[in-house]
Amino acid sequence: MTRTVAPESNRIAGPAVPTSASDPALQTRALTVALAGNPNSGKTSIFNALTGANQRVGNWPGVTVERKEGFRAATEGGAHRTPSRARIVDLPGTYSLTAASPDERIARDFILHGDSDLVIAVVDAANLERNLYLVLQLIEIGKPLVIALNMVDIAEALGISIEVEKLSQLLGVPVAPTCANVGKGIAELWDAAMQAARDPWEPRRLSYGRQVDEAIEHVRERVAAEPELVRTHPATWMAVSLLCGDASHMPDSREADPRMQGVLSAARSAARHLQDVTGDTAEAAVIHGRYGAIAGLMREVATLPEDTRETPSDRADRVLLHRIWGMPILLAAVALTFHLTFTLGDIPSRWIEMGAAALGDYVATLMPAGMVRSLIVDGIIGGVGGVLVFLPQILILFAVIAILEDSGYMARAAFLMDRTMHRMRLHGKAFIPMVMGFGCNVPAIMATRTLESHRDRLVTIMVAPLMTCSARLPVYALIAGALFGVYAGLAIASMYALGVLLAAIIARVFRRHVLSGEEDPFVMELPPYHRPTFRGVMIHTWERGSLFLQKAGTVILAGAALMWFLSAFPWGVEVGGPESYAGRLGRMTVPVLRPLGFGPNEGVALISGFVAKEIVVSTLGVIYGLGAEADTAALGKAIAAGPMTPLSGYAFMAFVLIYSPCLATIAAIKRETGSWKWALGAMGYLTALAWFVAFVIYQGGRLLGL
Amino acid sequence: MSDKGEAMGDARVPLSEAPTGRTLRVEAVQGGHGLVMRLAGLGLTVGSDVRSLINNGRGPVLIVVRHTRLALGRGLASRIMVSQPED
Repeated sequence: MTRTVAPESNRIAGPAVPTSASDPALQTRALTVALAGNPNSGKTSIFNALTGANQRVGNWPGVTVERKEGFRAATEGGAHRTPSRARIVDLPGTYSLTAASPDERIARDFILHGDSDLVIAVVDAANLERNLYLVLQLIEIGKPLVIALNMVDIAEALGISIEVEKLSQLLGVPVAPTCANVGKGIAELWDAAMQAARDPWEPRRLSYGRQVDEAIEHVRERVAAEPELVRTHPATWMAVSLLCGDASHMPDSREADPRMQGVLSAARSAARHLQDVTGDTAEAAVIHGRYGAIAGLMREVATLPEDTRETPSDRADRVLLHRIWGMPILLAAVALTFHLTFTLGDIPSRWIEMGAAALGDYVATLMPAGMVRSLIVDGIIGGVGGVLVFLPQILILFAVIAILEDSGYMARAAFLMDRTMHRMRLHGKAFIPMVMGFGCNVPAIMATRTLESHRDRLVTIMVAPLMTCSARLPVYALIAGALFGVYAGLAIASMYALGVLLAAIIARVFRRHVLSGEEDPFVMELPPYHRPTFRGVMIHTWERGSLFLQKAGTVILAGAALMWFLSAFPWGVEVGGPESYAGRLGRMTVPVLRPLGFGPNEGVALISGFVAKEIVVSTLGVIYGLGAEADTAALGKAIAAGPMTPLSGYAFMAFVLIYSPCLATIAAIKRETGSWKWALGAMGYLTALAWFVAFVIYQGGRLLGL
Repeated sequence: MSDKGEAMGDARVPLSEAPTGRTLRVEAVQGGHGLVMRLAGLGLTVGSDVRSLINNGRGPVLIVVRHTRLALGRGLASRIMVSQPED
């Protein structure tokens, strides 16, 4: 691990680069380590191995959707030191730091402006050349850097050999070989990182060729002369960005400043000069220079097998991406996924249903009849229990999706679906969020973060709620079971299809009128197939499933309590009867909902469904006087005996499918788009669309004499 | 596909029309600043050698570049010009 040691004065400027343990800033706060790397480089495994935290191992590019942090002892625990903890921040996986996607922006901004003291770059040894491109950009930024050369075992098996010492020397960066999935090399990596954090750090610049180097140096000098710029940005990084025509790091408030204008015009003239001498655009010259430097490194340190060999993954892809067989295999995989979800999930669902009923009965024996007992038994246990019933199905669906993702097949699914998605005017990568939407819309909306284009993301977010989530299924099951007899299954399946069809139409409408513009090109890495680990799948399933549990614990709990209040008050009226608040609200909806064939009961149920659609079932239970935890068969009989006809029932199912997503989904849309405009827009357009579709079904059906 | 390959010589063709299984050189990427930078991060740059693995004449194209398997949408593949270097 050779590195040039430079005097203090040569350290790059900037407040966020304390590089010595004697730095007072380090005494007062934890050392912060940023973990950067390409998707599929095993970054998450390194993070797990370093922190021991429970995270997942992923294949889907951009798997690290949330900012994850972990801790590890910062010193080797020598007696003369006070042991302290270092904070490790897992950045989203990125291929470069040019901020093309939200994930890249998060990673770049944290490295540039976050409080990181040190960056660990995770590099896939089996894919060294491509991975070094990101490393070169990190070297341009100039923060203390350590490379984790990961998956060296896999690289070796592929016939790749890398001289680690030499790579370290040439880059001027410590390099630690690791096999994170088995925990090898982690202690050495951490020692190297702690060493790098203690020692003074001099950023090394690699040569990108004389002409590019001169252009960068020319701009760098101008940047370095502006204290205001170098206070917040590394001069070399800034110079390269400006040379490539990216002025987004310039402080906004200073745009009119003549000195900033001077820097910008110096960058422009350097770029023009570079273009003249290389015959290429400045950005192309910089890219060429970076890969030229990488090619030089590769010649020095690596021995690679021929690239023309067919790998086992290539052979698998010959079948799985086959022009004829690829699609049927995908459809079979999706069908099997849903089959497993609903057959396997049904058994534990019934246990939960029985458990909630038993708990309700037990609590009822402990308390005298009255308001409190009614709230707890009918409102809370009934309401939340009615929702937890879907938990097994959601967990099974997410587990299967995690297996498909971790094995590498999900990326192939996006490949196969690209043409179909393209016709829907959606991006190929939008396929994964849409499939996830069948489980729960909240993780589906979060999964849109892998889409690079803001417009693609927004369109996907706006139509994802049309995927029938598992919360809508019990409503379908109840209504269809009560009114459609042997055709219940068909009626339910048609709802899933209706959602997909509407998503296709709406996506086109949004693309044409609201989010028009050029389509984002589809480009995606297909990682090699590999066997998913049990632990990885469990972690991933839990991360997404817990979003649903949080919803059950917060929004649905509150919603259930509210609905109980509305149907039980004023105290003493018939629960859910015409004199209760719920009944009165229901009567108010009649003028709006009558053209759809809905009565006041349906009105109340739909209002409660704004909170979460699964509540529709428990509300109907309360209204029909059977209690929130009424069993489905009894409730079905009550509905069949009520005023609902198969036609109005079908319109009701369609309305439940389409109208405003649950509060948790609304909150997710607000969080992901950063504005209430889109969240409220989704609520509004979906509710209007629901009314329209239900109107067409009901009135159309009546015209046909149904 | 093979006669197309022989006919192309050193002429440029879009990657979407290029034959599979042969080494091709990227001659130009017809796209803006953002696209060029993004493809660079994935290893797909002007001057790099690529090989088309799967091209069904419709839908995306699967290529290998710098030991990485990349799926490229058809529209994108039609904007990447390649030539077949003389062996």
